[in-house]
Amino acid sequence: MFKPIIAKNLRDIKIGRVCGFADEQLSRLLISKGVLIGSIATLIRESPFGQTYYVKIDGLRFGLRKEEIDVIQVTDM
Amino acid sequence: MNKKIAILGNPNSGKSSVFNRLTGMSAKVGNFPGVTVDKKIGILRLPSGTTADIIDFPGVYSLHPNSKDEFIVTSILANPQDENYPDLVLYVADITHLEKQLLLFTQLVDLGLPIIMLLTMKDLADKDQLNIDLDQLKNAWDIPIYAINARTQGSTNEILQELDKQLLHSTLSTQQQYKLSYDEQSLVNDLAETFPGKNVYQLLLVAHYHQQLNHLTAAQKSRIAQSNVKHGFNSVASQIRETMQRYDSFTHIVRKAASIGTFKVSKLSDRADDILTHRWWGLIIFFAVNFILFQAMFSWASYPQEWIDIAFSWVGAQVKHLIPFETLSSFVSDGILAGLGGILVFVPQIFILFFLINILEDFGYMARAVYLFDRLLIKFGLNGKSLVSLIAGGACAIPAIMSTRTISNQKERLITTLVTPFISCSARIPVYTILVGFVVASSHHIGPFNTQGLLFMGLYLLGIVTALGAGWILKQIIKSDDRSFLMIELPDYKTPDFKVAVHTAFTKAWSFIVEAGKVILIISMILWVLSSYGTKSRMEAATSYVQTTTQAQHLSPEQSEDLMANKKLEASYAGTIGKWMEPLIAPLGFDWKIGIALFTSFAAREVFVGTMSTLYSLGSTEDYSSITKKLAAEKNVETGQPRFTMAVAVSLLLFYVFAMQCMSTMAVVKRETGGWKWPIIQFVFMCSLAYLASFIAYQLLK
Repeated sequence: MFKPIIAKNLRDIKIGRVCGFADEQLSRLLISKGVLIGSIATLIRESPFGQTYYVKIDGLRFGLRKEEIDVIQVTDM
Repeated sequence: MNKKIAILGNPNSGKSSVFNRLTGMSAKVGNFPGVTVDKKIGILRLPSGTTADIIDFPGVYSLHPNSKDEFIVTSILANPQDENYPDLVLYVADITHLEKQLLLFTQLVDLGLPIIMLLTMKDLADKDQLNIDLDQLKNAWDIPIYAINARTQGSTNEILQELDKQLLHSTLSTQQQYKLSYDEQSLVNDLAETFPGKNVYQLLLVAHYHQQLNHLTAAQKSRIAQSNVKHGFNSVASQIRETMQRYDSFTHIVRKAASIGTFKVSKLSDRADDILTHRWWGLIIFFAVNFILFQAMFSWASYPQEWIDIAFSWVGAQVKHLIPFETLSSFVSDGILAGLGGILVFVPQIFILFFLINILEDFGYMARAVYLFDRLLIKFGLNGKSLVSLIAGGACAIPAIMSTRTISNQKERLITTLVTPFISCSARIPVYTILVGFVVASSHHIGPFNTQGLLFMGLYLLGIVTALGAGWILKQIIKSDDRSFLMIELPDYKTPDFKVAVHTAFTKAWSFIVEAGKVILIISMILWVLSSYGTKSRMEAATSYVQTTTQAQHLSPEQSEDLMANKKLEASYAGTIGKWMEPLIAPLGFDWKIGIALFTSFAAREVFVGTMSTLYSLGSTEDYSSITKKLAAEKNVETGQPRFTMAVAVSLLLFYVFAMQCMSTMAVVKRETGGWKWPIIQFVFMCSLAYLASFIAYQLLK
């Protein structure tokens, strides 16, 4: 049976496979740093002042703002 | 002309270590033309006897830039006529993250540049048992590749020989990595008629960035813009397409050549981050690190500062001794040497602070600090990356403002530039030290804490809070469509490279000497003229007054000399300016003497101390306790009460916390913002705030 891909937010599912980007401008920056479709993303923690996230993507670590992490669309692993 | 070798690579690739290793300490720092980005350049002596220039470019992920800093790389590589256009590229990549560090490399291949690849961190890869078959990579791209381990000297000779060989007759990989889309191809064909001889990828870059590329004429820019429209060129979409395709082209090559999965994550870094980026521990450690940073800066720097002081007073005394003409010797010792000393005395602190900041940066900690504080700082119109400037501002605003260049958002960069001078720099410390004594006695304690110490800390905190408050106000006022982002890579922790840190600190200190030096020196000379000369009648009156007083009161030659200096200063143009300022500053509790001190502080704030000691006939002493005693004895002529009351001292302290008194900082702000508009706004804002705060404090406390 064909299963539709449902894009989710990494903040909700904590770990997932990148399946798309919701913003062209920001995706340009993300992919140039190696965040690609198919990359595995894990949300590790939130910063002390909130709304900034420590995220691991394919062995790289990033500090991402809420607006930035929300651009990354992920699916369940 | 020497041939040029460019070192290029991603920000965390180990580029700086490679550059340092090849050039040693001989590298010089300049600016890339038109922009304020450091350009590190060294001269390489190659085995064949020829020499080549080697340039360290800013680290970038892609030729599609994210900031002004990064754009310099694109603008140079899009123009083969640029004076910095390389003949050969040394591409540096971290072997443990190779799969993510080749985007830029394939772009350079498409520019038709000869490339040698240098893979760093081989030791780390070995430890993780990550083996990459270099022969496979060499075959895939048809270029020479070396794996090194950034700290050891080992293969330097081999690399130099390869550079030599490639400069003589390079083996060029001609295979285009990026396949243009149909529309891009027809656009490029169009542009090729306007720019014959440019390479396909260069033309594509020109299509993307024609607006900002300075080597193009207005006519050329409008022609490119027309072609872009004609072919429906969408820059962002094209960049995404290009980037994804490039990743596709090299990812499988790297994976095939690697012995194990290439996503090796340093476990040690993970464990360190559990603590260092922890919600509570992270903050506590950050403040502890900063405490140690400043503790080290002040205590280590105090020794060289003392030597500099001693050296300058010795040279000053020699000059007075050797130059028989009084005016000339005074000009050299009190004008030029005093100015030079005033600059150099800050160099140790700047050097030490930037050395330590660089160690932290290289270790990987600064990126974590940026992550921790970004959310807090954006509320005040700043950016996580403003943190480095705010910390550096604790030494001196000049190198701090120059560090704002890494902030890509123009508005946040501007706000950082404007608020950094509120952070108490080390030039304010002498002023604080003298004045806190008039606010509270040194023996006074609150609980276990010395009250003067607490007051000192309060002044620093006031500066920080004001910087944030001003940032908040500016955030509401300044309009910008420029999108702000953080998206910072947190690299693996690694042992810091001390040589690179020393070199960077040296560069920062040197640029401080050059930037601040010329302004302070000029102002110091102007101030010397203003405080040595006055209208003839006043100066003569001052001289005869001193002569009669000396005879009447049987003053010693020394006392007479001090009195002479005092009266001459009062009669000089500077004295006239101080008296002219008096009505303006009287509501703040200041008299004309303080007026002169405020005025001369525009060279640099710490000049306050020297001016005060002259004004109170202490000659050239800068001994704090004797200045404090003298100030305490000073009476207000009208009331008969002590001149330096607690109210006056508080008012003066507040003035020094807030006021923009540093002309060198203004000159740097002017250069960084490209005009006088912002430094003038900054000056008016800071001085008005200082005036208001001092006014309120004095009126409430007097």
